[in-house]
Amino acid sequence: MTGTLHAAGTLARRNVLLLANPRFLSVVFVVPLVFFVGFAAVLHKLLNPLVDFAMFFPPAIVVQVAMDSAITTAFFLAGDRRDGIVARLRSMPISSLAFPLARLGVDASRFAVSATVVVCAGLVVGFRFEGGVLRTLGFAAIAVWFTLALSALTSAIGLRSDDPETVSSNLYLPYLPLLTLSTAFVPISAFPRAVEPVVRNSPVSAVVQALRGFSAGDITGVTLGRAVGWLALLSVVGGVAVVRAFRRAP
Amino acid sequence: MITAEGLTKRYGPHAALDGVSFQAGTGTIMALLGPNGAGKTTTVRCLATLERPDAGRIVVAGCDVLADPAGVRARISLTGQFTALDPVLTGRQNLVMFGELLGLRRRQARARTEEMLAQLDLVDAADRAVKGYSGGMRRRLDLGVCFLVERPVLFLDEPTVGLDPRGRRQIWQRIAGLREQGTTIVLTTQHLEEADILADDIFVIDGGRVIAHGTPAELKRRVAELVCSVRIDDAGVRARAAAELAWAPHVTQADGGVRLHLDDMAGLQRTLAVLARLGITADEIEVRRPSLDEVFLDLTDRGARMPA
Amino acid sequence: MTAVRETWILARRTVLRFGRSPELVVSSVAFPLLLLVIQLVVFRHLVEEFAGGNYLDRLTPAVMLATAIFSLPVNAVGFFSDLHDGILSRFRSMSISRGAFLAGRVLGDTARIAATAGCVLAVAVPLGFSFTTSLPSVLGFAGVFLSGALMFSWLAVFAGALSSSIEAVHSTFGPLVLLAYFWSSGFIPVAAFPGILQPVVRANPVSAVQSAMTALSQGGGLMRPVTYAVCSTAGLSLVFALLARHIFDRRGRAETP
Repeated sequence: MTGTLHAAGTLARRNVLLLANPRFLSVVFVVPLVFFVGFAAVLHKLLNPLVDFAMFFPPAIVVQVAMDSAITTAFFLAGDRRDGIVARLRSMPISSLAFPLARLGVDASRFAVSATVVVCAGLVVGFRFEGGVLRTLGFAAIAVWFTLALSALTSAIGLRSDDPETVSSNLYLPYLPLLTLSTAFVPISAFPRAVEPVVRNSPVSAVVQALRGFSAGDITGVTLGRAVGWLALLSVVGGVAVVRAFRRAP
Repeated sequence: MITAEGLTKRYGPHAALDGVSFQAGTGTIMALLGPNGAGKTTTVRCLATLERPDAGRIVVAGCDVLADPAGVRARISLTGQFTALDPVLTGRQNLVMFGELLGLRRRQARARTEEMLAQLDLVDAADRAVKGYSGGMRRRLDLGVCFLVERPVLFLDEPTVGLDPRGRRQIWQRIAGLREQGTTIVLTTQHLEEADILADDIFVIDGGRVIAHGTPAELKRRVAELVCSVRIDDAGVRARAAAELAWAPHVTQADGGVRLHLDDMAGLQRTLAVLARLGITADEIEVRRPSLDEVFLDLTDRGARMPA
Repeated sequence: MTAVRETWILARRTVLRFGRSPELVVSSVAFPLLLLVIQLVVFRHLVEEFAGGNYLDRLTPAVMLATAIFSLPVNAVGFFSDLHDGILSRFRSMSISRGAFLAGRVLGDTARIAATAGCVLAVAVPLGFSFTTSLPSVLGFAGVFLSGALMFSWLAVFAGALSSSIEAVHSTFGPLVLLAYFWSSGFIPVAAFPGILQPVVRANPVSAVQSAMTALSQGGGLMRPVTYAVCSTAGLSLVFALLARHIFDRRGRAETP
């Protein structure tokens, strides 16, 4: 076990060094802000009559950044595979958990930074954590768990391909409906009745509702249960998939 | 057909080419021979108007490279070290496109493409994307583009890199055939065998300068008339032999034997006498003409020993 | 070999390259179609509550333009690859004019965009979009659209020429592309934006093209939107073209005579 952690740490260091590039720093700091401001401008007037915008909106961007970052993970991994790094690592006596662990560790950290940027922007427009310390931690936990579970799944997809551009453009296809056919950006009352079941049962809706519940301090057992259920399912599927994909990848 | 005088090209403080001069006559193959980094590719790029020399004069097929680059381009065909093909398109699509860009009409381009594919043994792979081709296949296709339309001058920058011996021989035949038709060819290569077999004239380049010039035979003669290799397993005997043959030019000891250069029959007789005295039998002795390898190493060695 | 013929052959090459990857074709068409349907489902109620009218009337031109906007990174990377592979050396040694190379790229990309946008229009019709104006207006609709598509194609070439790496293309122009789409009157009406942003949205050429296209397909005041759309897109096309050409030449002048 310690061997795995040690290997994971070394690999993680490599991933972090790759990120020390100023261009990638822009991805971590600037792009989430661009999304925040961009969407806020578009949605503010439309949503104001329906919801408390300041509390409603920032969790949406947190979720969106999580999904974006999961796609970036796939992009990097496909690149790693193309460059032969995965093949080399597989031929070394490292546990097949080390590589995915390193990747996920770094990506979770990257997400944490971006999410903090988003929350800070939210604070500026009136977002507040009204549930006390415990619930604020709950918010962070759900957000990070969501990113990890998603990234595990997208890592598995990225490892199956050696073409980063194609992988990411393919992943943007399910990304769009998943993100928008949910209560992330638009409250359920604004959807046509025919689509309501889809929106209500979406995993993204579950996660974003949990985030809102934690930040407003009024989270219910049902909301939390739904989110945790989806996240657990995603984690299992993603975890198994990524370990398998790493073992099989050439 | 081609003359270059005082060709100089600098990249920052480093002079890739420092006063290179050469010429190539019509319907001949001229080889630029040199190690990595000698300046061969830079020379070809200057000849093909892809780089601008800092000094010097180049005339290709009657056109000055600086004054009339368009004229030069209309008379040359070029293949580079890095294959210049569209990786996304298929082999067939590449050839047709280049054929049309070279001035052929659609139907001609198509016909010529089929000919080329057959000649280059690429018919089976013709409809696959070039990025899936092996190195050798890519090289063949690259040459195919070069041969699509006949031009008076051909620049081949390391044309047989990555080909197996059979493929190499096929390309050599094509190149020789083009010479018979009157094409002037400038070839760069590190394959000494290639220069030996194909070239009418060789310019040896190292460190951005021409350090030797001549036909393959002339260059070999410069190193020595003969090279004598003797197999001696016993280290003691080997040392003795080397000592007693020290008068010969260029005596070297390697594992397993001694090698020396000889300039005439008298030297050979003296050597054989020494070897007989040491009790070395005939089947351990080999006498032959120098290979171009040895010429090359000798010339570039000497170059390396000169102050920079 | 005239520059026109060279341009035509190179444009055909750009289109052929695209056709070589069926995956790319499918995802380039699927994404805008998905965008059209989803945006309609998600935002129709909100926008029609706020501003009335038929959301599809403004959304269809907007998503048609989205095909141009969202293909910008792909086109820029494609051009970047052209610049850095060996093929450009070969074109140079064949005396292919640089103008033909640039124009061939841009025309090929624009043709691709037009075909994809055509698919979007075809899907919008059964969803409820229709032309209520005369034939000349419909032709105007196509013309204004092409002008916008051309502008984005030139921007893509400029982006490819300017960037020093593929990641740079994405990180510099990715956010720009998103804002160009979201902060336009195509997504939601100008009045739905916060007051401070309204001038920005109004000035966005995408807004101009979209409102011109809406007016040309549904009727309404034509003079102002169409004039602004055509002038801004033509003007920006020229600017991007000159900039791209300048960078391209500067890179070339260091090397070739």
